[in-house]
Amino acid sequence: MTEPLLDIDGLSVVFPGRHGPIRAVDDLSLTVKPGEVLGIAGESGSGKSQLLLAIMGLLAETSWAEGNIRLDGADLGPMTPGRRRRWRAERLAMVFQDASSALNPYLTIGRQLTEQPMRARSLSRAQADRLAVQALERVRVTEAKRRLGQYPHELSGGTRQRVMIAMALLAKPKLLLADEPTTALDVTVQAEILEILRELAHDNGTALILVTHDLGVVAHLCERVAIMYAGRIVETGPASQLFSLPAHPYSRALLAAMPRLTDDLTAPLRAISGQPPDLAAGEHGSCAFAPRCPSRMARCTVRRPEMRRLSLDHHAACFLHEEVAR
Amino acid sequence: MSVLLRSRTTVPAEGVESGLWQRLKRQKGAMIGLRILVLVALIVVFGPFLSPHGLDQVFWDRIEMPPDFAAGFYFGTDDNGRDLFVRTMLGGRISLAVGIAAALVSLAIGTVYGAISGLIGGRVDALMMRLVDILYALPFMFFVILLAVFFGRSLVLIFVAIGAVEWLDTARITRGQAIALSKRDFVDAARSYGAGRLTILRRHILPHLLGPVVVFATLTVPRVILLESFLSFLGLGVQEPMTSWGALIADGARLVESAPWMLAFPGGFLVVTLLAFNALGDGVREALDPRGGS
Repeated sequence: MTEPLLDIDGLSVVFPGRHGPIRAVDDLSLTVKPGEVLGIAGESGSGKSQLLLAIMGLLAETSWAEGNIRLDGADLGPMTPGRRRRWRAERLAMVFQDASSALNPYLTIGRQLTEQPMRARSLSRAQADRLAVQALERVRVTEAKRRLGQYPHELSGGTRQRVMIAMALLAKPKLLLADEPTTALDVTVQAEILEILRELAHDNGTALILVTHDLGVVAHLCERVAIMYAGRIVETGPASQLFSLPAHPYSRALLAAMPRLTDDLTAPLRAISGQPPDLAAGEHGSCAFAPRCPSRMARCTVRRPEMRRLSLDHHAACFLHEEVAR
Repeated sequence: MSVLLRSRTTVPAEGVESGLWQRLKRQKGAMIGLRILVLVALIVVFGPFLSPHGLDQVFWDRIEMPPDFAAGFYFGTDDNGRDLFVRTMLGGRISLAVGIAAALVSLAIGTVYGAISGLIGGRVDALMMRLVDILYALPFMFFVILLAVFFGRSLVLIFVAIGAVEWLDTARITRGQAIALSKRDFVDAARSYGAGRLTILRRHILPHLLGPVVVFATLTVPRVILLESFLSFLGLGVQEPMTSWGALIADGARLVESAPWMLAFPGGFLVVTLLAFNALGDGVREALDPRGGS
C-alpha cells in the first residue's frame, strides 16, 4: 500500500470557552492517499472548516491544535515554524469559500496569480504572466490575457472563484483543499466549477479534499466520503457504498433530509430533529449523536462508540455495527 | 506618502500606483487642492524676490501701516515696521517645510511601526504598544525643553520633537487597521502560498493602510504647523527675526484691533493651505481604492 499523502492522527482543534475548552475538532484521524478525491460532509458547526484550517496551519490565534499531522512523509509537529510554512506551501493549496474576500482588492489578478510562482520558482514577470494566462485558460476564463490587468471587483463571482482555482493550480500542490468552493455561487456556475475541480484533480493527479454541506456535490465528485458530526468523523467509506448503504444513523438521516426531484413538493422538508450538541459540554462518555438518534440504545449514552470496520475501507462509529464487525 | 514611494520602487509598473495618477486626475477637488498647493509653494519660494524689502529691515516711519502698493508694502507692515509681505513668504517656507517634513517622518515611522506591531501580534505587539503608551505619557513640553537644553534651539529640534510625538497616533491607527486586515481571507491565502511576513506586510497590509494614512496625513500637516507655532510662541521654535505662519498669526492675533491685516494675510495663507491639503488628501484616498471611479 502506498504511503498516505496526508495522515492525521488524533487531531483536536481546541478553543477556550467559558465552561472549559471547546473541541471544534475532536480526536480526529484521517488519511488521504495521493490523487484521492475525498469529500467531507456535515452540518454547520461540525468542525469541517476548522479541520481544513488546521491542515493549512491557518487556525485562529485563540485556538490551538493537538495531535499529529504527517504531510508527504514528514511530521509537521517537530518542524520549525519557517520550515513548516514552506513545507506546507510547497504541497498544499486552498480554495476559499468566498473568492471575493480571498482576493486582495488592491492588486490586479495578474499580480496575485504571479506572486507565488515568481517567488517559489524565481521566474521573470513575463514567464510568470505566461503561466498565469495558461492557468486561467485551463479553468476556462475567457480573455485570459486581458484579465491579468483587471482588479477582482471587475470580475463576476464565478470568474473570481476560477481565478482562485487558477492560483491554486499555479502552486502545483499535491493536495488541494476546497472549503465549500461553490456556496457563494449560483447553481449553473457551481456545476462548472466542480467540473473544473474534478478535471484538474484527475489530470494532475492532485489529491483533493472537498468540504461541503451539499451531499449532491459529494456524490458527484468524490471517490471517498467522510461524514463529520460534532468534531468527529462518524462514518467514512467509498462514496458509492456510503450513499447506497449508509451505516451510521446520522449519515442515514442526512441522506434522508436531502430533497429529491421525485419528492412530493407539497410535503414538508425532512429535517433531523433536535440540535447539534454543545461542544463545550464535553460529553466524552457518550455518543455525540445519541440525543437525536432514532436507534439509540442504552449503552450509547454511557460509552462512546469506536470506529469499526464494516467492509474494506468502510468505517463507522456506531454500536449498531459492533456485532456485525465481530 | 513615503510608503507609496517605497512600494513603487519594489513593484514595477501596472500596480495600484500606475492608475493612481489617472484616477487622481478625475478627482476635481483634489486637483484644485493640488494646484493651490503648488501655487502657494511657488509664491512662498519666489515671492520674496518681488519685494525690495528685507526680512528684518525696520522702517521707523511705517510702523503698523496698512497695505500700500505704491511703496511696495503689499501686505502692510507690522508693529516693528517690518514688511509683512516678505515675512509672510519666508514664514510660509518654514511652516510648509516643518509641516510636510515632520508629518512625513512621523507617518513613515508610525505606519511601519503600527503595521509590524499589528501583524506580528501577541507579546511583541503588547510590548511595542506599551512603549507607545510610555512615550504618550511623557509631557510634550518637558520633552521639548529637554531637547532644547541638550541640543540648543534650532529648526532641526522642531522636526525631532514634533516627529517623535506625532508618530504615536499614526502607530495606533495603523496597528488597529493592520490587525483587522491580517484577519482577512486574502492574507490567509497569501500565507498559505508561503508568503513570509515581510511579503504580507509589503503587498497586502501596507497598500491597504495607505488610504487611512493619507487622510491622517492631511490632518497631521495642519496640526504640525500649529504645534510649530506654539513652540515658536514659547520661544522654543523659530527665532526672531526668522518667522513662521504660526508666529505671525500669534503676533497678528495680539494686534487684531489696531492692525487686522497682520492677522488676515498669514492667517489667510494658512487656511487656504490647510484646506488645499484636506481636499488633496481626500482625493488621494479615493484614488487609492481601485474600486472607486473606474
